[in-house]
Amino acid sequence: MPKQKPHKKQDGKKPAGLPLAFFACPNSDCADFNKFDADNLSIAEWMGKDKAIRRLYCKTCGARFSERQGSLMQHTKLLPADVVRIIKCLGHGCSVEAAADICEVDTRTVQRLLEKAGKRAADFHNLQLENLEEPLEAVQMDELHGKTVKNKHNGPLVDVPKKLRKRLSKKRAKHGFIRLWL
Amino acid sequence: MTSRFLLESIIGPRTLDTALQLTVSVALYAKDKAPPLILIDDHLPYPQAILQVFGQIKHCRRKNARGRKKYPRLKPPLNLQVGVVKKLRDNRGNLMKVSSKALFGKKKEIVKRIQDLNIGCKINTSHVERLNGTIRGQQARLSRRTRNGSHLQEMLQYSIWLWRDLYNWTRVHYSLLDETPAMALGLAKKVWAVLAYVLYPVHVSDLQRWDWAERRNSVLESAVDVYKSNKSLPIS
Repeated sequence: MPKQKPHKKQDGKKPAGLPLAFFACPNSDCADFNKFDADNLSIAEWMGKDKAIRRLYCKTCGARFSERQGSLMQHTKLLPADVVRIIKCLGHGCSVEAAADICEVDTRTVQRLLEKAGKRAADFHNLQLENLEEPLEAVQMDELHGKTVKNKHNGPLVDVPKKLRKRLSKKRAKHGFIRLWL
Repeated sequence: MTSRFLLESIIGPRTLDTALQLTVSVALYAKDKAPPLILIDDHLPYPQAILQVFGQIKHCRRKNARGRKKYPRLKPPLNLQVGVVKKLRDNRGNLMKVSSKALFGKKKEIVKRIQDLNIGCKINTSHVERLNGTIRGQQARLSRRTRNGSHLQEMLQYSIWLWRDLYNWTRVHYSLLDETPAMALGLAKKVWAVLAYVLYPVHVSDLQRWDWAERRNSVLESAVDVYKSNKSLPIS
């Protein structure tokens, strides 16, 4: 296991975060849901170990939420620079093990981040494409070959008739094969 | 100018269902206007998928007065233009010849439109083939003869979705005059840093997800299916 990095000490000053226009209310029942720069947010408090994370307050619905909600920094103890490095490694062709080694984190951390980032990426893509104003003019479609390893334990058995299965199992038992798998 | 925006990447077997999903994504962003110019290779399910998504209903006439009425069929709309690149290979798989044809629409008009859009001189899929090369180089799971392949299909899908966002939003392209594909498509005004992408809050409600799924399903339904479902039942 890699060693944990020591926390950076803050000297009383609050770190300069992103402007509030960068955030939107995540409450789906709010009238200003997902509206950026709607002037409905204010800082409620600072939280976290170093008091570096802002808790925001929505004036419209009264919801309080972390500024990290909806971002890749949500529910993580990693520093933003580490998350950026992991994402860059994954985006440039490093395997999970390679990314974990480069960024000095556990492979499970990279795996978890990849899963979270993948789901978020799909939502981000769909949300952004809703802002598309002009229709597409030309499209090219193609296929790309890739493969995934099937899990043998969860794979379905071949549906072989009973009579044939008996015969096959006898035959195979002689040669050392026990069951017939897909 | 082309945008080189990667619109959709779907993982699945090379079947009609996967081709349909891909075509639906194209149709969704056509914004109820004229269908875009579609350039494909000679993968067999594409024509049927395109016809099912973009096709209009065609009522066939009976030749004789007797007999039942013919079932309605699908026909391509007049403004649909689809060009196909056909590759001829020998027994060993070596490429011998590349030819092209118009699947729907006239070949001359398709070639003219390609030249107007500045994406080549003839029917081609070169942009997407180049993109395939890029993704193979930048995704360990998709490179050839690799030991880093995915065990689970979901993880492969997640990594491709993530790569797609990074490619579209954070990477400048030489042929786009140092712009990102998102900038070329008019979605972004500047190049996104990876940090900005990481910190950007993405909030999606359940209603929105339901709406996306509903829109996809409505596009997936062909004109014949809609005709059949709208057909009124006899009262008596």
